[in-house]
Amino acid sequence: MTTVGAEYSMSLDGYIAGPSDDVSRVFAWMFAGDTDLKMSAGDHDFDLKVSQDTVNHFEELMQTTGAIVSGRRVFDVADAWGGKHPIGVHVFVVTHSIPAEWADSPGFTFVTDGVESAIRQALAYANGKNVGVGGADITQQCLRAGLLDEIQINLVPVVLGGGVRLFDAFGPVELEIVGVREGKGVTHLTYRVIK
Amino acid sequence: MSKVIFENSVSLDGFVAGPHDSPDNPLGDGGERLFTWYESGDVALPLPGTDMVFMISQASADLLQHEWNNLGAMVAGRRMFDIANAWGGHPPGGGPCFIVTHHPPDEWLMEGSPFTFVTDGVESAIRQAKQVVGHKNVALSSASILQQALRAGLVDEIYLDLIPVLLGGGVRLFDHLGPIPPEMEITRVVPGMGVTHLIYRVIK
Repeated sequence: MTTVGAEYSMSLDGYIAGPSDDVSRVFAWMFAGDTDLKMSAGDHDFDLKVSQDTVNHFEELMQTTGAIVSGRRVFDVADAWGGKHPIGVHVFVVTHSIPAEWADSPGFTFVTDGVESAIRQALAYANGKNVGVGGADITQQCLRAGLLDEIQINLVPVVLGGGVRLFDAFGPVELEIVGVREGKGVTHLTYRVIK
Repeated sequence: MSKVIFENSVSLDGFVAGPHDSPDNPLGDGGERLFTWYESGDVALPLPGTDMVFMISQASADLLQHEWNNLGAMVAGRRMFDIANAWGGHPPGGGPCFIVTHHPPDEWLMEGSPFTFVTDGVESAIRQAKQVVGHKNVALSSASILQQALRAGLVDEIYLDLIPVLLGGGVRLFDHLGPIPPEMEITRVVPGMGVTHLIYRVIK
């Protein structure tokens, strides 16, 4: 059974990025653990310090994820991940206009006819593996369209007071708690979306 | 050691009441969903001072029982006092109750009233409550009172009962906290039935 899932680090007041897209505080837990985890995006390496539990989680994510659907804003803010997403899979970018400098990149497919089409294409590409969704706006669109199966929230004990909200003015949506795991400076909460 | 604590159900998107809340609709649209976990388990736990009985998981019951055993007094806002109809004279917890208001209501000023009306603000109400609780805790009762107390640096612990629902609007818990929001650390996580209890210590 393949799932369409989203994973975010989120503040207690619901932000996945602070003012000016600052993610230092919501990602601080990724540098607070005792186990090394090397991730890379393009030519850039990130040396993370996480728990063994998180290492296991990332390894599972990389093995089970077959494609990613991303919003254009995330794609731009992340600078196209230097050409290669950290999870190492093909990314379907939902956009109105195709960026010329990446149009021929083998790592990306630009989808101009909406999020449902992008999910459909990503599921076909993933060929039995799962699809990850990235970006608050895309996640909300997937929730509205009934396309999202799972959400993992890495809840961090900070209040940001402004920034990019993950869930904005959309509900009610019923969820089911699938898993609760404690980390250092973070609580990993996994939910299934009830449709 | 006496602490100032806050405990409430909150949706995953951060609301303690749904949209369009009013005295006639105190929990807002769909807000009653935040409290269905009170009937989600098989362990009976009577709420002191009331005739309410929670039916919850053993893990939730152990946590709440401990919290209630240590409850010395409550500080509530006037809006909640009015919406709850003064809890019929029996505020939850059964201890003394300090109501922050500009205009104390005459009908509750009699001898033996469980309520003390505080007209000079939340800080004063918490100070007065602390004087009567001994080593027990002072509980804050609404988002607005919590926000004022957080801004004043008076809150020690926050108990969130995180509910797996997105309400999409309503009364936000962590709002109006000013330019320097509080720093917190996680002290405990307790999975319940249809609820996840998250306990945070406010770093001062």
